[in-house]
Amino acid sequence: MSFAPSSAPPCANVPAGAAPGTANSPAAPAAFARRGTALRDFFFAANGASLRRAFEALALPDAPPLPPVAAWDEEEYLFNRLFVGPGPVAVPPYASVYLEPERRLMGEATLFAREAYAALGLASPWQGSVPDDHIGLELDAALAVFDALRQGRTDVSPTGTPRPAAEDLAAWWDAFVAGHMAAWVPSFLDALRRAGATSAVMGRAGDDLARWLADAAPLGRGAFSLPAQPATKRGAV
Amino acid sequence: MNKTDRAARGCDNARRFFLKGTAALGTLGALGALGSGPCGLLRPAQAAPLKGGGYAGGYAVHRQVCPRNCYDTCMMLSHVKDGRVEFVEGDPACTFTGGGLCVKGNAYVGSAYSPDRIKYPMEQQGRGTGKWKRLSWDEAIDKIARKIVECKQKDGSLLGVGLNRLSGHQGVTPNVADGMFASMGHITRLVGTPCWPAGIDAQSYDMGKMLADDPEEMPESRYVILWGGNPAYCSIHSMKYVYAARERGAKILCIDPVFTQTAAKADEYWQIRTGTDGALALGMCRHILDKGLADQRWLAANAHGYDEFVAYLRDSVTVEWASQETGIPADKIRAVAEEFATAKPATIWMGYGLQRHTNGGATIRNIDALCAMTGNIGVTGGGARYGSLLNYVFSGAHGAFQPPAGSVGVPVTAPDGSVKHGRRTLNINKMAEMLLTADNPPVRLLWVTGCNPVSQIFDHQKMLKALARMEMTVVVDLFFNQTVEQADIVLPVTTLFEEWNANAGYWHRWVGINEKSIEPLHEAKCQVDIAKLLTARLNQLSPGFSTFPADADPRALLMAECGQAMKDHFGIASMDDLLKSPAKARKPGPAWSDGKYLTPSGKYEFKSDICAKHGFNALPVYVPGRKPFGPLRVLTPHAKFGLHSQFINLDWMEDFNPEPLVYIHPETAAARSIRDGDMVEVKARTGATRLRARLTSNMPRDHILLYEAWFRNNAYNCQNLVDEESADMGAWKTGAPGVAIHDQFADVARI
Repeated sequence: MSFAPSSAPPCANVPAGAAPGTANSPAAPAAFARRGTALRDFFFAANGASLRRAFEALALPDAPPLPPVAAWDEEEYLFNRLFVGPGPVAVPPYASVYLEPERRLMGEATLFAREAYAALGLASPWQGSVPDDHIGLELDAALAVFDALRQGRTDVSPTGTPRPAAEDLAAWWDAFVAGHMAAWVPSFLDALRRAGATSAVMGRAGDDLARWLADAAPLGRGAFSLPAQPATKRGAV
Repeated sequence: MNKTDRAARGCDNARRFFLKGTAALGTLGALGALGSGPCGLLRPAQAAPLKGGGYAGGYAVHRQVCPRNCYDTCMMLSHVKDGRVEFVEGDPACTFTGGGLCVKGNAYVGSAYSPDRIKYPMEQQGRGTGKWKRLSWDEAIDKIARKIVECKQKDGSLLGVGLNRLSGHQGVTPNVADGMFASMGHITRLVGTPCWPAGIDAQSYDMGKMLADDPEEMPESRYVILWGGNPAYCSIHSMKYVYAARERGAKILCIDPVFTQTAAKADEYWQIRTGTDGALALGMCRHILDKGLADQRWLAANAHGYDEFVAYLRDSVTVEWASQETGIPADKIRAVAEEFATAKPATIWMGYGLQRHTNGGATIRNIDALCAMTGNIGVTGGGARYGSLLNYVFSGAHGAFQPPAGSVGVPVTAPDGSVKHGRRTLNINKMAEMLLTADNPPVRLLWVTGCNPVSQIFDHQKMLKALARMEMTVVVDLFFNQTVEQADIVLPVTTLFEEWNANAGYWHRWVGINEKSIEPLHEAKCQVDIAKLLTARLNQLSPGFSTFPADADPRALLMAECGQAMKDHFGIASMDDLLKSPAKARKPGPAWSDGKYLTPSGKYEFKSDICAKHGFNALPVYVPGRKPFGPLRVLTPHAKFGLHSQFINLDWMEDFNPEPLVYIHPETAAARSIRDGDMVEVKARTGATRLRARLTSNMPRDHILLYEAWFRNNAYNCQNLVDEESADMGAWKTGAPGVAIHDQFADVARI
């Protein structure tokens, strides 16, 4: 089990040979969570100020310094061109676009994410309007589980509401992060790389998301059967 | 294992895991980790996920009506589960739609769930720059409201506010855009339509109103002429009635300059010289006259001015002349005239392309006369079919709002000397010219909804100049397009699945309700809610600015559209009845079967004094078309994979229709060293556009054809090649004449 709730150090049995600086080093869990939070807020940003705040939160001790940004307005325009609109978007930040035969939202992957949150007793407040498989929401769910495991708060609550068992959360991680997110996020990042017009900011956000995913994927129980290769509409990555 | 299988397998395994594990996992919400902790977006689940209704597969089934501007106005069913539309189908309760949809209707789920939809209110920092920032609805509405208030302060009226609304979003609900502005004062409205106005006026001169026969009765016809239309592309549900007529022995003749899909399915095809259709109809009339085949009994009961028409035919029309004008051999004209006159009942379906000419209204009158003199009006299986206003019996609740007392607009002095104020109207078919020249005040703020004028309205280069003159342009739309490109603010609007609406056919005789079957995606809003937001802000900024009801409810407004006229017409007790089934107009039989024409004489008017009063000929005489001003005539008709500029941008359509093409006859191409697949430039007086050539002998040698379209990743715009020349008629019934879309000329060269 990757996340020993109390006695063992966090992520103690990540497979040997994991890259230096990943979540298995002593200081790493905090950085892993902070990186995830920053990325969540980055891809969920509704304006330039929140985009900038989220990006600056990627400045972490275990990461290279952030690139200088000449004009945040330009980054906001680019962000909207790539991920938001109003024009055709090159890099839609939704799982179903990459996992299903048609390039569309609200597919099976959306319901999959919704059910994954429901399994945790969580739901998106924007259910039905923001597709549940938006990268920001998926990161949010993953971070909640990571935090619960790391904090070891998996006992029974004072009110008697059953709290999730660590074992189950690890299995959730396997299914959702190592299974589902690892199946589409690389395709998303590939689309970002191929989008042409990009910037140091977008490139760094993409690199950090790739790193977060690389850190995240091995953290689960290793017990869940996964597709051999991530599968996307555009082909295997 | 292919990629889809893999994705499905991974997904299914994990879904089973989550569904099974829900109870075991307990709830992270109980951990108190929300808000301040890592879980910054998700919240404790309040309720079970939405499920479907009691239908097979757990679907909730909702009634929808296609809101696009189409003959077929399809009644549809959406199948919803987990708050998500999974698929649509034609509503089998509507015999016209008959359970089937066209390629566009079947694309609606992909359209609503396209990642390219406009998702949020956004503001462009410099038109055409592509530099967009998101706005909250409050921010967007505030900016617009302040501009509207500023217009009133500057001008003392709201004439500086322009509304450009067209048929891109049909039904009753979109009318609320008019109601919203009417509640504020007298604004400037782009009026008219590029679609069918010349023909409406023509049929109104002849019969008093445009009323087409029920297409579901077409199988009764013994002879069908499909003239200047392409229902195999544009009204696929009608084709089954054409085929049914043929199975019962009818002959199908298609007359068109282009060998269309419809022509390919006909028994006989005539490639007529474009714009000379009136001469062909009159040549047939003359031959019918000479052969004594006119229906004297019908004429005695129904005709006004027939003797004058006969005199005109004898004086001015011969079959040989008609043959020379049209390029159709005289013996064929004679043969078909005799067949048509004797095959009772016989019908002609006149496509809208026929009247998109400088002589378009006159042409429709010529063809109407052919139907009339053969006694084919008012009889089942007959009919001069063009379009129908029969079903437009809604109460108008969405638009019925009055400006605040004392609102200033365009003053009109009544005969009694009193002065009333009204809106300013500008001809939508000359929108570019009108917006460039409107003054005192100029149009400062343009609100565009349900249309994409930059792709659809004429003289593209002039249009860009005109829009540059706007102080603020707001576009309400589903998708980014060439008009949004020129906008300052864009507002996301709901799809048919996300709003209440009702729509009635202008071809068939059905009406249907459109249920709100899912919540709006992203931050899209229905137009009633947009009107409420804007009104509330205006009234905050300037109390009493608008009379629009603050508590307007989209569903209640829809119900109010069903007044007594609609109840009687469709035999329903209320709009709610349509939730059970779409309804068909109760009036049986063909148009004008009662012989009571709505003309001044009460008869079918071969001779129309109103027409003469409006500056045209009283008789349906031949009017020659526009003189060519370039080597090749340019046709820009409707495409198969789109409706005007909609649908073509969907990747589902792009699989079949990935780029614009210009269709050229091989000999025409060879003379210009153009091979199939070459990139070419089509150049006209008004502008040029570049695209790939497709060679086909379906085209006349002196024509080229480019479908009207908007592609999401292509700058193609056929309005570079179409000028603002008016059609003859249309101003009477629609407020502005039609437009001579098919009287355009250009040349093409390889690049």
